[in-house]
Amino acid sequence: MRDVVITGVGAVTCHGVGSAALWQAMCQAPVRLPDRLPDPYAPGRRPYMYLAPTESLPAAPGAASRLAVAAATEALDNAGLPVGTRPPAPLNVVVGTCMGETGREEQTRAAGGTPGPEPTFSVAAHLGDRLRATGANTSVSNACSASGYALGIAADMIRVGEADLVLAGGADAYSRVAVGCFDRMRAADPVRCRPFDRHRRGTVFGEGAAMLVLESAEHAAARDAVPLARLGQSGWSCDAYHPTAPEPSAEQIVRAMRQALGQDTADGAGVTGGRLGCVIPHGTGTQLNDVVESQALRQVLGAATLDVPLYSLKALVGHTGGAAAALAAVAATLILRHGTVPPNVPLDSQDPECKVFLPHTSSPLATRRLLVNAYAFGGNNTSFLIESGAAA
Amino acid sequence: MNSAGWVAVTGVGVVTPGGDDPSTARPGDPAPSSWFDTSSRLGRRGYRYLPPAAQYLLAAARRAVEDVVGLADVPAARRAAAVGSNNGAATLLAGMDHTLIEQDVEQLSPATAPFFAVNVLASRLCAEHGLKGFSLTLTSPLVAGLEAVEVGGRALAAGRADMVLAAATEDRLSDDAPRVGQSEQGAVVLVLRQVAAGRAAPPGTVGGCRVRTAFVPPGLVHDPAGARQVGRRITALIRAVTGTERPDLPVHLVTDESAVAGAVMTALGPDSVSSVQPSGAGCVTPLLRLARELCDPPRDDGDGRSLLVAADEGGNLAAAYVRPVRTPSTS
Repeated sequence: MRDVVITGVGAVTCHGVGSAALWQAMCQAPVRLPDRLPDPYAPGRRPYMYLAPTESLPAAPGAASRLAVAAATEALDNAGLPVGTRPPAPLNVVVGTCMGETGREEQTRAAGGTPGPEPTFSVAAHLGDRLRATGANTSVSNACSASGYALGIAADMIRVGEADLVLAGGADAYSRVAVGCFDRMRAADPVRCRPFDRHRRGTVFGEGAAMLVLESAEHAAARDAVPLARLGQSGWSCDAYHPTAPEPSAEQIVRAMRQALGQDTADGAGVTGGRLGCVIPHGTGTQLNDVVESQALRQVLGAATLDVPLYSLKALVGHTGGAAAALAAVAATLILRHGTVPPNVPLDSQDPECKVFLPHTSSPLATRRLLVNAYAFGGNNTSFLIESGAAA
Repeated sequence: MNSAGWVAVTGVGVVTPGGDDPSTARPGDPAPSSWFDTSSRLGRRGYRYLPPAAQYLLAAARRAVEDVVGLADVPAARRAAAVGSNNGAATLLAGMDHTLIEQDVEQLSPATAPFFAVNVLASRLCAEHGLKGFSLTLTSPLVAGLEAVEVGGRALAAGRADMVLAAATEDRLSDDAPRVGQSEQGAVVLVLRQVAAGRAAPPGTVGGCRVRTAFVPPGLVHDPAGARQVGRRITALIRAVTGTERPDLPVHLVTDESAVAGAVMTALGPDSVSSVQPSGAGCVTPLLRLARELCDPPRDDGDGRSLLVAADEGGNLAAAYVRPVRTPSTS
């Protein structure tokens, strides 16, 4: 199997356009309250979300596509493959999105119209057309772990030899229905996104996009590209349990983490997966999920759980749905490049049931190896490693 | 050619308004959903709250696995699902949005609220069949069902599972949707197993296939240089699935009347295309055609092997090399 390296990253969050804006926010760790939705039909009690600045985004057929184009443009530029230049190998595109361009359809209805015939899940195709990318073009919609699976699919394409160059990530924008359904399920926090806080009441969505340029190590070396990081193994699993609730024993999210760490052996014996410098958890702020993930981390990391810093990204940018895992991958790459684990956004009081280490001051990255977790409705779990390696 | 990406299909399940036999099934009848009786298909309790696309998926999966040999021997962690859908939750979401605009959030049904995320359509499928390996939901227009076979096969090759249910499921679009007349209803499920190089196909194999996807940027097809690039890409795609650029096979095209379809037809060579089938608004039709080529290949058309190509106006493109069981070799 071939090595997969990351040679470019791009991001858009409520803190601005560009991965530099994301890193700056990560270092400052502000308590940012969500924005009131500028929608007269925004769902009742919790009409808030972390909105991305839209004024500087490129034009596109929908908000999710606009976010994705901005992130993709940065990632390709970062990789030395600026938009408009022909890449040395066919460019493949894999995009994770929960809602696609549902928001565009909702805007039309709110204006009294009827949505047009355009497909809802058109973000990947829009990128493909815009970038003249003739490789595979895959739209993945595993809800809040969609872009984690997009990265896994992209890495598999490279590892089995089907592709050398893949633009992979995720994008999601405001959807009235998504916000409304979370509110109806009593899973929306009335204050802010505050994973692992004792008083958390649910999540708060955020708009965002993140794209990464992935290449086979050989392809990157052949064009003298300097890898930012290596995308390590990814673990996939499914709870096969409940539409929304995590399976309480965390058996399958533990299995996904162990696959990523190389602890998942055929005979179930398990082997050491090595040390971790940081974990970016799924951590959404929903009450049961944060407890189950904390317990799962303890099963995987054992006594080291309280030594390995968690970086709780959603406290900073909200829950960006299908973009969340790719944003975590960009954040992990930035942490690796800077060699620093930034401070977490302060909590009022950490939940004693969530026995994890959430440092509020920055610290050196002790081990150049980070684990990212991403979970979703339907029990769709994935975990993956971002690490330095021989190529990075 | 080698066996890379080749998957064995050991079970096929189809549920459509036009019947459940792959050779005659039709997903394109835009009739109300009264053709599907939940109680008789799935059971009296616990299914009615599921959106239609989830029900169709369950029913097709039951048909697909009923004759599969050795399924019980596959551990839950080695069983998985890859499900394609473009509009499986579209009508439900449109209704929810009307509720939010015209009423308020409290009028949303808590039972159907989780299905705002289209991947939840597969949740019950995974629970019912113990699919703990993974559950993927793919939404690429038109090709998501074929893509489920591609991604499922790749996952088998990568060692992520030993058995994958690859599926497409769709529900009727709402009455005010522009493409309601092209609505698809129903589901197709294939049971995929890996075929190791030089090894016999698994017991009960119906046939085998290899699927690859690519993209035709619509913005490229209007200028000569772009069209040549597209032609080269389509040729490469055909070579990737069949091992040769000009395979001596019946070619079946599922597509629309777009410029992309024209470019694909030109690249394939109009004389090479045996049949052109209109695409619908979803991703069921191409996977149903694959199922038909596996289960009921024409008797007077060579040895049953065929090439299936699907393309849509947005640029999504897939090719599938299909080989029914009467030619069970992987090479």
